[in-house]
Amino acid sequence: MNARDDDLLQPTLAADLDVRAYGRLFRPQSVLWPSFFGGPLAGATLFGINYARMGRRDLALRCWIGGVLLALVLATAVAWYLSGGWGATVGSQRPETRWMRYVVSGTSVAIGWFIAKNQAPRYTAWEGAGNAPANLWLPGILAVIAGAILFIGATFGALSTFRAYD
Amino acid sequence: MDIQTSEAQASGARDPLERAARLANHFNGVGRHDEAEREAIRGLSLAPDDLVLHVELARSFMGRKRWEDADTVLQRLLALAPDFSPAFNLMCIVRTEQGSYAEAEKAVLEALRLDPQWASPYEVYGDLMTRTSHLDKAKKLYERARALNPEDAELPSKIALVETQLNRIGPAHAAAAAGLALGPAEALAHASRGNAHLAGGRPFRARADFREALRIDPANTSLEEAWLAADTACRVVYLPMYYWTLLIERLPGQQFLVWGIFLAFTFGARSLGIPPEFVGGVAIAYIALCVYTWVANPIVKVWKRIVPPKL
Repeated sequence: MNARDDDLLQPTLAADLDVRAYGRLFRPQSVLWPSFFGGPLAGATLFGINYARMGRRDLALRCWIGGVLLALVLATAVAWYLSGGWGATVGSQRPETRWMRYVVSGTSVAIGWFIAKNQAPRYTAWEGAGNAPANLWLPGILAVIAGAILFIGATFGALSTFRAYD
Repeated sequence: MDIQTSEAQASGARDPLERAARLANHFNGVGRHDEAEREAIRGLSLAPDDLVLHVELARSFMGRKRWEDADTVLQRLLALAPDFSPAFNLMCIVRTEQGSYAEAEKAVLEALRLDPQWASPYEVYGDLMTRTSHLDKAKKLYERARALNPEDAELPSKIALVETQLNRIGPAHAAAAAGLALGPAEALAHASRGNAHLAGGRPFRARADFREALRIDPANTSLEEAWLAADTACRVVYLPMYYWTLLIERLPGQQFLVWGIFLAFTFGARSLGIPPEFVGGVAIAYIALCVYTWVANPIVKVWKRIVPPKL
């Protein structure tokens, strides 16, 4: 068979796949933990840093903008619920408010899982070239703290807006 | 070029150029890359445009992981002979190791365009596809290489490793068995079966296979790491963690999915009329499982210090 007609001999890799230019990456699956504890801002920040270090600034930007938008939507939803939306009782008991937190964590992890899947091949290729992943402890903790504070701030901001209209 | 000659045979050649090429080939084949470099340079001083000596010089650098030097030699070689497929094949290996994967693919495709019936570039391309997580394509490339060179014992073992990564344990065992039949003294053949065992829930057999592979190739650090991982899985304190990891690695979202199911259960239990005592029991079991997964690694590390692994 002619090489030109052979599917197996068609190029598969992206023309820019050169991991020599990559910075030190976080292990994508590990970034799911800060996403879980710190919400969408923490996850988006770290996944965005990973994309930027892969030289994909376009995807990093999308990741950061997406994270901010998702955080705003979720903060608004949580504030709406806390202000009595969706039939919630204002000042409701702990388990009812707690599940909103689970929704935020679950949504962040679910979206983060797809991003991690997207980053995994490039990460594996980078790691295969003899590179060790970046330590996630300190950036992860900082992202969790900052992400959680900003998210809570956004939620209270939205809550006060809803209350002002009541 | 790939045919290794004995040192006596090689040094017996009359022509000094042929002698240098044979010796360089021999030294590269037995891992004496410094001597191979010396012979190749000696030969190149007599015939600076000799293609085979350039290949041997590049191989001597590759054997010592001097990828930049190998790259330079190969570029010089390609300037001398732009249609020399072995140079493109070696270039793919060098670029893969450097992490320049797109360039590596270009090089190997050129090697295959020049010589589509040569098995080695298919294998090298398969290695590149494995490295970049294109496992189905890697498997097809190894199979094509195997069809062209059925006696190569490494190819079924590499197919077995890919099948294991794809979580196809049955085909992985079949390929590993074929590798062992072709090369019972090959470390990779034992390692590939060990990997299939480890991914298939048989850590004790995996440990035995890695031990055998290490006996054959004691200097191989990757094999040592694999053997240590299998040994960790065999420790009683870690065995449940090993099976738990095998299970959750097959689930989308892994531990977070389990957490989601647990939450859905606890929130839905009340409306489903499940007794609170049962829900409480499930909650305690889940928390105990979480705590165990957090402490299993530190505990097994301590245990391994007290009872070190034995080869």
